[in-house]
Amino acid sequence: MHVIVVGADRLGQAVARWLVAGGHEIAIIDSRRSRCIAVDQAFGSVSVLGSSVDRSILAQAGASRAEMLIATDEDDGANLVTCQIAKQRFDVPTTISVVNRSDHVDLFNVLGVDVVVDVPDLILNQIQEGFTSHGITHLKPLPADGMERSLVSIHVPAAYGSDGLRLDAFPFPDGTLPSLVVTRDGVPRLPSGDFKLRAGDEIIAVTTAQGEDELRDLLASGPLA
Amino acid sequence: MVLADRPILGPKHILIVGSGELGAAVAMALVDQGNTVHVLDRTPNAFDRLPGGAVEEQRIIPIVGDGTSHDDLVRAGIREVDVFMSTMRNDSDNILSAQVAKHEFSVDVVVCRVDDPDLQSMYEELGLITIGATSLLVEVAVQTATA
Repeated sequence: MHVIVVGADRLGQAVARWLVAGGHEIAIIDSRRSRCIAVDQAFGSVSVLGSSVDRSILAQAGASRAEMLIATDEDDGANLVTCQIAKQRFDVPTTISVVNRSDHVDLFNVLGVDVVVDVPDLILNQIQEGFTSHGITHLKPLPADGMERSLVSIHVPAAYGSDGLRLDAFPFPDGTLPSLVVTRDGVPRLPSGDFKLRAGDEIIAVTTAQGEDELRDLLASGPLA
Repeated sequence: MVLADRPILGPKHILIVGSGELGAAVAMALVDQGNTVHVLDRTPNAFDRLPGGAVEEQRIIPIVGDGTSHDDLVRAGIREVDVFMSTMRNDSDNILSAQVAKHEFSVDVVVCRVDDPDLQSMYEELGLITIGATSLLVEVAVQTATA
């Protein structure tokens, strides 16, 4: 199919490369001549030099026969207006846009952009996954009676597979109280002994400073017997 | 023109995004009519265009911030305003900002500067009140030439 890519920066070029490899016909719009030259050298004559919020530029890029438009600009305003013109004036069936500020996501959805990619959120999620790779995340200190207690989140590791492990078989250190289980589908469950833990579930628990260390070692040491 | 049809009932709270030539001039005119105007702009230097007296008397309230940022718009009082206007130089910035005001904050009256006549007619169709230098000048030019 014919796909228009807006923006010839690294992201736009990566999208273009993927589309071309999949056998699609593409046009790339960018307002900088140097970028257009770069993509023409990489993909053949695919560039259209100009502003994507200019209807005549979209027409040149083949908007009237495009089945999809993918906006990858760093400017959310340009991305939104481009998608709106594509829908409103060219009836492009599918518009996809990156959003560079998460607070714009809802608006893009409301205004009919079909797929909205929240770039800051994606990156933040990746970073958070890096933080939680040890299996335990410290959420909040809960100081009481001179005891150093804290609220932690325990990520049930992949080694549990699909068979699961009964909650009462999980080797919680002394002084650890599992308070809530959030399943990998995001469903909150009150913990009961016969609840089957599965990989990707999250246990919210109260524990001691020592318990937190023990949990970290336990989860880092791999699958439980 | 849609604006002219609206009755003016007492002083209004108005938020203008962009303290450029247009934004500052509109702010001054609205303050002269007794309204309170918040002006949001990314660059503090832009507020030099605002009349010092009105700023001191807090009839014009300048706020540094991005007209497309929810947090900055809230700081600029968007939840309390009757009228919102985006007057920046860039059409896309104005359109994004105005649609945030209309769809996310449900401001009663949203006016958006769109200089490209093609975009202007499209966003009129989509329900924004637009003002555009190009279409205004064309109208005046045609009227003058055919008078």
